[in-house]
Amino acid sequence: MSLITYLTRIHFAERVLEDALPEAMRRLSARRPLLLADEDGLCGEGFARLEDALPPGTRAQLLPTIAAEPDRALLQSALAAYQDGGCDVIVALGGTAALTFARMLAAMPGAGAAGLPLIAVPATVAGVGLGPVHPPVPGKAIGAAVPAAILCDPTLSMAIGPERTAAHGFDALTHCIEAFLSTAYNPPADGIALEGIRRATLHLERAVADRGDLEAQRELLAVALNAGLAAQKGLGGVAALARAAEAEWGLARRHGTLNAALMRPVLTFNAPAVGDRYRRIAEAMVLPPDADVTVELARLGARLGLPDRIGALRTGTRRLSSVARKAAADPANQTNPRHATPHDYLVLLEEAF
Amino acid sequence: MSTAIAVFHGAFGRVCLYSMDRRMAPHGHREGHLIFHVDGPPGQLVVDDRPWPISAGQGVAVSPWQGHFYAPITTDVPTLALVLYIRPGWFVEAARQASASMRFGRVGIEVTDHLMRLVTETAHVMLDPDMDDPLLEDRLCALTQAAFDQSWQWTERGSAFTGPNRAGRDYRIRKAVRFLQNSIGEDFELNAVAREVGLSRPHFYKLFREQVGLTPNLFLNALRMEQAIDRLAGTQSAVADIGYDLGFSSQASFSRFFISNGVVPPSAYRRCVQSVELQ
Repeated sequence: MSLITYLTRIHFAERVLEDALPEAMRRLSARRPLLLADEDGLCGEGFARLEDALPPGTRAQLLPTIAAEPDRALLQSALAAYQDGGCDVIVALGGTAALTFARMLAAMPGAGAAGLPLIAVPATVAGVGLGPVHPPVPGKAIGAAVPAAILCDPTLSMAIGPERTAAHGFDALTHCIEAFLSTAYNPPADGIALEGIRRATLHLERAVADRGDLEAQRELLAVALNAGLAAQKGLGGVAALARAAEAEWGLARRHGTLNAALMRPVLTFNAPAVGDRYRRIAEAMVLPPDADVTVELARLGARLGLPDRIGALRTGTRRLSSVARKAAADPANQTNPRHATPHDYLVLLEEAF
Repeated sequence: MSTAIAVFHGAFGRVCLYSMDRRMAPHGHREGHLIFHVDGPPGQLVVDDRPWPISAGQGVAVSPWQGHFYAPITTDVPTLALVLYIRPGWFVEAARQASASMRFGRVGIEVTDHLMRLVTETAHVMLDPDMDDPLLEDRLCALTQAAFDQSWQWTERGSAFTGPNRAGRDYRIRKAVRFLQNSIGEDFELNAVAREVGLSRPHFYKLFREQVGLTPNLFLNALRMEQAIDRLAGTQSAVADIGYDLGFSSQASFSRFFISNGVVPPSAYRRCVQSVELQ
């Protein structure tokens, strides 16, 4: 059996931030946090709540807002800020940008063998700071640390608007689907992924339609958590293509927007290699056994208002073939159920265009 | 005069066995608070201006930052009470359920057989100086959990959502809270704090109370009590020095403050404290 590790300390409850943050810092004997947040983390009152939740007398070091596509220099300067400020923990609040940045910062070569302790606080339902990252930073690959603690507080992502919630939620659903289909052998992760698919089916539309529906939001964050836990198995072609296209077309700020349009061609391409797994996904989605999950997922994307074609979102003059090459080189491609070459990805991109 | 029979400090917070016959001053604290009758005549706790009995069948639960004070019904014979100050951070880890924060659904707790057994066992352990109880923490957790669950039964919101329904805090109140936290022991007027954050005195008090739960004075008292307790239990500093550092002009005024907010004099508290570090 492959290595299965579950995984880190995770708090999951509404309004858990205020109680769990001081506790997590105490556990790490941390007194001097480096705080960082991205646009999503700064949306709403999350950051103020985070500052207020710090133990009294804490002197925190603050980083400027983390951009959607940080570069290596930014990581270096963040590491310098951490070290010069005498910090002893990173506390990251936000979506994919902040959490990925923080995980890479914690694993920087200059950070020491054990890495830096990180407390991840998701502020979107796109991810909780687990699973493989696709470093947006060119050059020598940087690993990503697993956070020492993750504080999942659904009330923190209530301020995100419906459009972004749709993209984030569909992204988490995509990760569950691709983790379930991935070639790695990890039965518990399969179960977690299916459960995430079920919850997403029941609550994604509700959460997008009513941004005041806290229960639906909690369920979506649970989907993101399941996706993160299951993503140990690796992801697949949709993630590979989406991340490549987002990077090439400057869409990192709209992470997840392309997934719905890419899902159908990729799943169709993978169909010969998945055994009975689409049937099991259909079960998790509470569909009749003969339902076509690729069609149903496309319909779900349409109901959520996500684009069904990627063409309209393309910017710049870069050719599709460079996106395809990047996708084939993405680690997510290695666990795609069916072996896909750059040419295969090009065909898939054209289909989705 | 109220006396402390035993005081245990641990990861859970504090648990105290007090013999109480004195009325206390209104106060509040960061911890969740549970008070159970152990022996003697019934007493009562005034929570948000309403009295609640502490008797053989009735305990009380006070949420963090909820104002309250003890008021004896009779002062002839003291009431023996088990008093828990539960750290929300500990409970959120120990409880293993999807409820954040220790906000109780209501104040009155019916002391069921299950609760009574837990209260009696805890009191028993605390009364016996030779008894080393490895199950203390589990028992306190069970006690808190049972009281917590009960407090949300038959309430409109039920236990589905048990986090506090806080609105976002006004930035001026946040600023004031930060100032107070960083200025304990210093000489300042709350009126000046109100001016500093840009609020009139009445508006400052009203908004602070709404958003924090306590008035600025009581909030400041709570912070001073926290520091006093930490230093009494965790350092060798002289009681008088601790009082001076917290801004009291004499040991007598510090003692009066400590008694009215924390039942017994600081020196008595220090004598009773035992640290319970469980593996």
